[in-house]
Amino acid sequence: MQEMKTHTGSLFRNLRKLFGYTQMEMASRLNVSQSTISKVESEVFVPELTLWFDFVREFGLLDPYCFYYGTAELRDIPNLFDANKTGWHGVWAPKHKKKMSMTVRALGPLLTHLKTHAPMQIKTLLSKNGATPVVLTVLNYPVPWDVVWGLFELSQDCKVSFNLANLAPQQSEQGFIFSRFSTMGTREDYLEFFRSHAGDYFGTIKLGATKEEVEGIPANLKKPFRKYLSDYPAHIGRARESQLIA
Amino acid sequence: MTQNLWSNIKALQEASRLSEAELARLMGLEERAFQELQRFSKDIPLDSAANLSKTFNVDLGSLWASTLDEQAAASYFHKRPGELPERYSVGKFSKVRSVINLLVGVRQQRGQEYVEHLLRHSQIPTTFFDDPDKVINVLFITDFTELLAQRGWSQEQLFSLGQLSYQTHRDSAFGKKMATHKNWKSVYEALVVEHSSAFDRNYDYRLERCEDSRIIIDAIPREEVCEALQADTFDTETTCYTRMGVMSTAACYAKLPASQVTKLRSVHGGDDRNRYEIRPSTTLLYS
Repeated sequence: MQEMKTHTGSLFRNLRKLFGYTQMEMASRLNVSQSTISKVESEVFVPELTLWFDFVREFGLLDPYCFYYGTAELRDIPNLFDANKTGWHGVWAPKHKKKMSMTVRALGPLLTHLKTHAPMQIKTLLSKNGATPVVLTVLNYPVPWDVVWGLFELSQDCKVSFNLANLAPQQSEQGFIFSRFSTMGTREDYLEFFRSHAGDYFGTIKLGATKEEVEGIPANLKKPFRKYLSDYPAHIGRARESQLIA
Repeated sequence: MTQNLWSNIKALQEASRLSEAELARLMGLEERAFQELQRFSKDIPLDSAANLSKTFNVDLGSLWASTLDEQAAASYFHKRPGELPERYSVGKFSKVRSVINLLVGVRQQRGQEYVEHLLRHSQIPTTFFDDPDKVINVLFITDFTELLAQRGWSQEQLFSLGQLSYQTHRDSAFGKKMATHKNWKSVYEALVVEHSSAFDRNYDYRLERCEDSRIIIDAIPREEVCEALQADTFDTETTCYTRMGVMSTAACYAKLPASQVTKLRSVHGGDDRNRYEIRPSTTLLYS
């Protein structure tokens, strides 16, 4: 019960901020009082079923059961770029169109570890790039590639260890990092594959990127990850796209 | 809307033979609070709805819809998981093994809990899929893939779920038979001519053209299935993408790269058949 209050409260609060609404504006959109919004956000009570579905519809949440996780996928990410506000979305949007990116979902395990070990540093990194941490609520949000590498640098600075042993439980619960390799086989196949290749999360990220994405990484960022950037298997990553001709 | 909600709650209560006090407890409410909400047809808190959803294996959205099958919900509650909802009980031509690749793929990408939430939409418990020889009708795969599309799954992702068919079948009797074919052309010939009924009994498969570098396969919905379902057609765009994925990886049984598949005609697009052109690929998916 408390967990659900926390998750719904955080979803209401974070998505409202992401879209740049005040509590009053959100209340008006959802046809409830400002006090109701405030109480949901403050985790005083969980919303009623109708309010929850109005919220799901208004913000385009893809999974109505996301109150179990406290994170969400949004139907129409580009709408965020068109929001009639200035702020982080205005900064990231043009970058996103020009540069490659990874989703928050794919970065899930890395972010989870960093949130525990370096919460302030994440905030600073995002802030430097014109973003706020609320963006991390949206699992299908595209994080620009240079910010992704900034997160990895941060993980090295904080000496956060990423290996498959501590990532696997999260993967099995929430299906995080291996989604780009769905055609490769079972989870055991993945584990075996990465053990015999890179053997850690950096390897996973490397294999998940396209060749162009890897080549596009600035030289100064490439250096710490040199050992992971060799032998890039070009046939993986975009193979599926070449096979489906709809 | 809340009137529908309360008539559904009442129907669940009656079908499961529960008292008001028992149902209130299952919803995490005091009996008095339950009665108060019911008397004025008031909305229920999200946590109570989530408890109902979990207890009776029903989708949250269906709690106020007219599509809720209270008998299937009661079967689940009383642990009779073998009983399918009425919607999936007629014209059962699909074996469970033919949809396992979808469930496996979704679980890999989103986790087990996500799969359970999706299955609540169909009111089928996950345990039903433990036995690959159980049968179900084609509407399940139709509903399941439509729901995935509604939840933002792309054509490419649906195609990749179909491609997992090779992973889930390679050790089965069907997979072993398919693996006896060693070249690209013969593996597709075998798939259509000898084994099509083993992987899909809802369509008649025909080999329209069979060349070394190109094969054209027709998939025509069987009249027998349409009659049983009392529908003109059951073909949808989303199931078409998963089927294309299945066809793509048939080449993998011969240890070859997954093939390219192009849709030339489709029943859901107004044609009398689905027609697919298949070409060999040099891109390795499995090594």
